Amino acid sequence: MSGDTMTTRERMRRMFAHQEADRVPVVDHPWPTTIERWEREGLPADGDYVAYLGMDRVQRIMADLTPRFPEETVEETDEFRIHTSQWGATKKDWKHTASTPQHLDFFVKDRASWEMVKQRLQPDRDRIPWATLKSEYKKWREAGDWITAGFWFGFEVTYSHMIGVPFFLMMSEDPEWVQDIVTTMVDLSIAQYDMIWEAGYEFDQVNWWNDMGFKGKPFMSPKMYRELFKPADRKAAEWAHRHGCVVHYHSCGNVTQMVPDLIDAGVDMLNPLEVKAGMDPLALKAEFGDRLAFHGGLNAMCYEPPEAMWAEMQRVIPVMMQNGGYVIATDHSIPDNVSLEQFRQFVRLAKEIGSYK
Amino acid sequence: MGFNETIFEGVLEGNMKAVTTATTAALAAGTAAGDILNEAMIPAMAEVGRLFEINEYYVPELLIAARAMKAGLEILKPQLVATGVEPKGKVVVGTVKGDLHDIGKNLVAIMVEGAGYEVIDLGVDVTPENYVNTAIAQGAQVIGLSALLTTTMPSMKATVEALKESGLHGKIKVMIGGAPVTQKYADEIGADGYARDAAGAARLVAHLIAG
Repeated sequence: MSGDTMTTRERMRRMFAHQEADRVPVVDHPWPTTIERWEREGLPADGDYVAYLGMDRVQRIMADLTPRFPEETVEETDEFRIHTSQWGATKKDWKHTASTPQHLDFFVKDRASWEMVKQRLQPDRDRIPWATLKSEYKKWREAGDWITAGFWFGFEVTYSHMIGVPFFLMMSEDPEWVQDIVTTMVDLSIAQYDMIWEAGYEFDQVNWWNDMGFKGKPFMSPKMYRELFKPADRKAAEWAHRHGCVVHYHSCGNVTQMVPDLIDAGVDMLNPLEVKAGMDPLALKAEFGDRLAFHGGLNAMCYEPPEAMWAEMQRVIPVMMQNGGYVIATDHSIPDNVSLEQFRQFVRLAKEIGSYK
Repeated sequence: MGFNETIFEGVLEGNMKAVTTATTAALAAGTAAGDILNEAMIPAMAEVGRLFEINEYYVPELLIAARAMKAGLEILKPQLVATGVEPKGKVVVGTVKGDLHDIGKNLVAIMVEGAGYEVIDLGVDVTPENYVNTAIAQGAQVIGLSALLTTTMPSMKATVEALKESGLHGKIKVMIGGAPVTQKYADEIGADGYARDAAGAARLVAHLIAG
């Protein structure tokens, strides 16, 4: 990368340590329909936009942490595919729409069906992508890439993939059951990544996705988070820190109320700081910037017109990058109204504004 | 504590058994179904909305309250029909074309229903034509559009345009909401109102229908 004097790994380490680097890392993700657009606009067919645009290279190790139900197609058209998932749910995936899948049905409906799933959530060496690790790990390390390990447990995965709306009712009425689910899943994550670590495939970061908010506020109270989900977050974070890894936590929506608890649980970096849901990156930096690093916070609504995004970058990045602790990204994925050329300019400007030189 | 107070408190606490028991007992004692609805259940859901807005309640508390009210409402329904008690109005809700997120939309449906309106929920990925045709066919006064994605917001504008083409914009009002949506955007596309959250949506429906 022209002008870069550090690898992504060196750069990321310094961000997490709240220290300046050569520049702020740039790590962002397009929707699949954005990739389709970019390929029409000249992105090489391998779809490797990170290499093509000179962004920072983050490699993800992802063990299979699902109950491993067989995936079967129920119905398929040019527009969508309805299929059963590894979680036992029935999903509708849209083929050309920038959205998340629609869940039509869930396997877990009561304690008995949960016990069946629980039996399937046992540690197993076959859950690990050994072939990929064998062929790629050395290259990642030699290139100075940042390697993250994807845990998966907590509110979002249980709500979105396994139980649906009844999970909210369980959270109020059956906390022991909720804790059983969350503990089972965090223990599975830990067991799988113990195997990977012990095999010599060490990583830099542990991340997990746990969307806990929507517009204006979290789905649940901080008190409920503390009782039901924080113990598992803490357990995972302690495992990560014991292994010399940092913790990257993704939660969509406005989770400002949760931030003190997330820091207390051991979270090192919060993503994506969804501005349109009410998160205020600059206020978060001012209040928690000495204890928490941030990834995101550039309002994706500003992509149109492009000049609005350039102004937003000038407003946000210089503050967020002070004393390290920041990774540049929009506040959730690059929408398909952004051209390849526009995003190329985004990356160029991000590096320019985010330079510490 | 009287029956209505028990029902009110039962809804607030999400105590379905207390609500159904008190509703059954109130009807047996001769209380009119419409009075139970208007004096206990609807005020209880309005209070739930208030508590949601001031961060006393979150989604789990709101959902168990709504479930308790619905259970009571099922007991009231035969008498409401028999005595000719009509909903305050009809509202069509849905998540716009291309968008599959439904938590926000579902909460709006719950709070609007809890405020005494009939809700026709079209689900997710709803086309402009489906919103407009359903509203016309069902005689709805308000259409509620939800979107979570920036990429699907243009479908809100398309729905307002479709309603204008039908010649019924103004007679049928459009309210919008969702993470990326703002009052400014509502003004830009010609929507009649914007609600920040589900409790606000219930108040907005009342305002739009009254206005």
